[in-house]
Amino acid sequence: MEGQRPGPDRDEARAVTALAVRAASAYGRPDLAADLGAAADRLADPGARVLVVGDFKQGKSSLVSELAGAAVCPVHDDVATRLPTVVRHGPEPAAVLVGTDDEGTEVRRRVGTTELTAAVTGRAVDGAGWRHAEVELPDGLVGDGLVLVDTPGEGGPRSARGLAVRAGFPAAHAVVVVTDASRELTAPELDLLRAADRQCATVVVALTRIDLHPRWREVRDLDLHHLRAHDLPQVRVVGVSASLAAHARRTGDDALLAESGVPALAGLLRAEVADPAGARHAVAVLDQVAEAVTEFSAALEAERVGLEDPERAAGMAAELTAARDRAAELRERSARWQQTLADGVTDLVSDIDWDLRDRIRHVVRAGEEALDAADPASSWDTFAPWFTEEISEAVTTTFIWAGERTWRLAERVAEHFALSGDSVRSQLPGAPSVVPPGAQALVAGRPEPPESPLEQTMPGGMVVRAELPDVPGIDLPELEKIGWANGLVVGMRGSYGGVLMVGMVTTLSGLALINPFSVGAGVLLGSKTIHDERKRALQRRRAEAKQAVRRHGDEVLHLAGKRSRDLLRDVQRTLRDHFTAQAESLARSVSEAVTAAAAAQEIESGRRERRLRDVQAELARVELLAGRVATCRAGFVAALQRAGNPRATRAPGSSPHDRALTGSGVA
Amino acid sequence: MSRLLDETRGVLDHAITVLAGDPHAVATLTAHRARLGGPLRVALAGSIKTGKSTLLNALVGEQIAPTGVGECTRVTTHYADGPSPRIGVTYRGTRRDADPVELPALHRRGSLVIETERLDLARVAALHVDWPTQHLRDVTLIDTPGVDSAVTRSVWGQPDADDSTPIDAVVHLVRHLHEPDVAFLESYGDRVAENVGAAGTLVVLSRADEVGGGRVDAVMAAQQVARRYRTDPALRPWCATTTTVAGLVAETARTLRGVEFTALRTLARLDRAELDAQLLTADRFVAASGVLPSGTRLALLDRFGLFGVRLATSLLRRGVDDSAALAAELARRSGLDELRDILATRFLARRDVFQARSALLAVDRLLARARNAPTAGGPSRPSPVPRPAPAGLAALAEDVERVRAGAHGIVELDTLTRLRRRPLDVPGRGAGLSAEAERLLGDQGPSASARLGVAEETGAGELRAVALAALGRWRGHAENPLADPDTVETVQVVLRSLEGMLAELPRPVPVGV
Repeated sequence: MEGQRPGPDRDEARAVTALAVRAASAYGRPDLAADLGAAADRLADPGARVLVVGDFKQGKSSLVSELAGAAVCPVHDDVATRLPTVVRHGPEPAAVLVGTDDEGTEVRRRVGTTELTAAVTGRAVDGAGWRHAEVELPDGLVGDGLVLVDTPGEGGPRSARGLAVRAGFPAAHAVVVVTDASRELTAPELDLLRAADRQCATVVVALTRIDLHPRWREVRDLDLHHLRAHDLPQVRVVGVSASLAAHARRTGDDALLAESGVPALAGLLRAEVADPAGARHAVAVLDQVAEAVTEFSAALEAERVGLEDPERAAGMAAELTAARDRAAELRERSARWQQTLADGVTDLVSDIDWDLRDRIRHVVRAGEEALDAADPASSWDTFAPWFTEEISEAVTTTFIWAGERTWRLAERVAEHFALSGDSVRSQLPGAPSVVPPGAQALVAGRPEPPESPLEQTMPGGMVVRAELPDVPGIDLPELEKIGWANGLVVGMRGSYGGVLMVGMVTTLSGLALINPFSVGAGVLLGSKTIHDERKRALQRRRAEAKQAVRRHGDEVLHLAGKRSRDLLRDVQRTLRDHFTAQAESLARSVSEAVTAAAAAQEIESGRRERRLRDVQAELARVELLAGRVATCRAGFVAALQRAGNPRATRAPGSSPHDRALTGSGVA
Repeated sequence: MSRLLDETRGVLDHAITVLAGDPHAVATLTAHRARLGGPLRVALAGSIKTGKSTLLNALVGEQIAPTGVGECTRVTTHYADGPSPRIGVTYRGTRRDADPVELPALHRRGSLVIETERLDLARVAALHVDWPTQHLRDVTLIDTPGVDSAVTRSVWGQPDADDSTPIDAVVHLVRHLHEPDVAFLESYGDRVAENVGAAGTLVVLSRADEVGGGRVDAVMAAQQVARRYRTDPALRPWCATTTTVAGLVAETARTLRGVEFTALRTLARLDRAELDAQLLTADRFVAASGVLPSGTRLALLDRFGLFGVRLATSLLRRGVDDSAALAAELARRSGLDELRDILATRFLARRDVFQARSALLAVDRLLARARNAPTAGGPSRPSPVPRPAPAGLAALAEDVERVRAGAHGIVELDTLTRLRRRPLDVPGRGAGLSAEAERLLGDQGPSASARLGVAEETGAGELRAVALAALGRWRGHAENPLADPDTVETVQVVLRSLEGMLAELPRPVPVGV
């Protein structure tokens, strides 16, 4: 891809961004320089996440290790992976365990290989508190910006662990479903693939252990047949052998390495995930640079006009003053985006609360019915885990839904901000009057938002439609700036690897709920009394058990309700702060232009010529920079279009699978 | 034959007269009656490609169940001993005229071919294969479709499955026992295994050769895994014990052909490094040039698997030099011998008890249905109190209870099942006591030496002494004032087992005058 013109050029992107940072400081705009500095950091790490999922003991950990090019994930004959392991780029090899302490704050500890293995396979003494492990490697596939996530075995759609894995799909760029070459795909695996395909652009089946099975090609053909039969023709199947790759790595045998299929899979991930994600990332960053350049050149442009043509300058000054007022309004509480945000959060709080209550009520009712059908003394041991699981599933579903709704709200706020903000920005002297070419492609291909159905069936059978306003020509790259890649998440970059968390929003604080620390306590308590009561009458036992169930439901509702409200307020605060900062930066650009135009009016005629020459020279430099930014951006856009992401052309909501998801609700 | 079977036959005859008005019930009862004293019916269950059919072939010692790359068994198939090869077909509901009653029993290269293409599989209830072999004389094997197939629905999902296919014991095949398998055992423990119970379920870690990437010591690693499972609290409630088997190697060991032995010997004579390089991957082994054509090599892999070829060549190198010895060693190492041993001591030795138990359970179900069925005069009105049963049904229920209470073997099985779910709770002595109770109840086999945990050749006098000592100890447990009712009940059953055992041991000859 590198040889073609215009091609994506990462070095150039880094160079122009660095130049823009220097220019912003030189023109007295430290605020813009700080923003651009953060953007430059992001350029280095697009963080395209690849989730490696599948049934137990299919060879996920060994595959992740081989993709990463180092034995990072422990592999065992029997003991399965218990903690998700995130393998990402880092300056030097390192391993960190991440967990939460009793107060809920994040704990990170650097560990050696032995301790990592013990923790990941669930044999560590203090292993209970760890949430995931992070491994950093300097090169290999992760060096290209891929983040590999090795997951614990997917225990089926109903298990808590299966839910946690599936909840990671919206935040993942690609999902690799690992299955053993000894058998064709099973019904649960096809379910998993369907769930992945619905929410992820790239889904690949890795057929492992091809070294053991002479007929793996037949199995692959059977798998392809099943995929077609289940309407998943876009899913690829790649045969790999991790043990062969490991052998090849030890002996340095390149032919053997190629035979193992691992390089082919790595290449596919690089071409379809890492490169496009990197390109999209670069485009977003370059858009931000271009806007910043426009902003800080506005003052120069205004001064030039003032110096060259005093008459036109007067008219411009009036326009600029009006723009300044509008920019100031953007910061006010009465601004339209502020209203959207405030109303949206209020609605969300009430909807989510209702959803949560309704789901838990249904679970409790089902639990009571189950208790009526059997003697709690004998059924409690199976009932309690079932009930706990149902409750966690209910809470998880609500939080996933809350995540989607929050994402949409953020989009709407961004839109409303962009509508007003752009009208201000277009008033700036020297602003480009048209949307840069290629922006449309970016709109369709943007990777970050979860592509989920617009409708959701609530437990009562009510269908809630999430509003996704269809306004053409919205400046969507703007989203990238507030987006999940930066604004919301920047404060919690440390736990960003925890993509197994539910959606985007629950990354903030939702996981503790799914990790049923609260969910277990009440039931355990109940269980004890039930067993103590064994000698009493059946009716009495039932009443006790039902009371325990209701108490537990209340407890969970209490905790989950508090958490969801906190969560939404966090979101509100983050969005408000972000956009207020944006508005301030814009207002400052406008007012500096006003000042510059006014100063130009008053300059003595003797110095006017010289100043004009200086300003023109400066402007030429800025234009050169803007030109370089545009060329560089065009290169990335072209690469993106060549990559031809199949998902980019599929309109959300048109897929027949979506209906299946909305239809299921909580069974 | 045995008293238990005679009494059960009596109950079934009684039930047939009482329920004569219900043709379905009569058919079920007649089927149960006919198979009393016949072979034990053992079902092979598990997800797809766990090697159910392969294991079946290994147990029979012939390739009669179709095996292959994709999903093979699409319909429940019964394999029984019969005078001549025959494949019968039964249907759900009524048979249509176009439906064949029998399929041709074709042989191709020593294996049976079942042509299901002409059948409408959705309506086929089961295939019944008769095959003349001594290995099916004591046991009828039932091969089932995989439970999580992407194509077919499982028989276990059918509510009427247990009546049409009475099952005495289940061999559950798994690749690894992680949460999904346990969850499956639980859900199906409620359905099929309600006949069978934990005491009648055996979990087999199949495809043991693939544990750890097909190393030569793979089966040993798998056996370690199985040992761990044996004590796994999550698994205990659902099965009597666990073991491992490398199904493909086991099947091939029982059906080893001369040409295969010759081909393996040719390979074993190759230079060791060269052979190791060829055996690095299946693809390389097939593509390797030299001593054998690639067709033969592929056929070898199909029969042995990469692990099997590695194991067999390494055995040949180490001095195993004839076909019979190789087959014996492969069978031993594949875990097949141990599996057959477990089947013989734990299941076949108590064939009568298993059969009587499932027959009595069938009568129970029919009784419950007859009681709840609306009377002939039309739909009955709901009533808050249970309707009094007609006199005939009540007498039959009494009869069933009488036989069941008198058959200590059945009580033992039910107690074993209960013990697996809830171990004895005697303060201060938990697990050890439960293990002893299980052994005394015949968990390791119903012979006196197995129950008492002493060597098989122990003399009657010593057995008696050990049994008397155990009896004394367990009487002590029965009198423990802190024990809860469940424990006391279990202890009583154990005491009765011990007393029965003592009664059967030859009385000591009085010494002296």
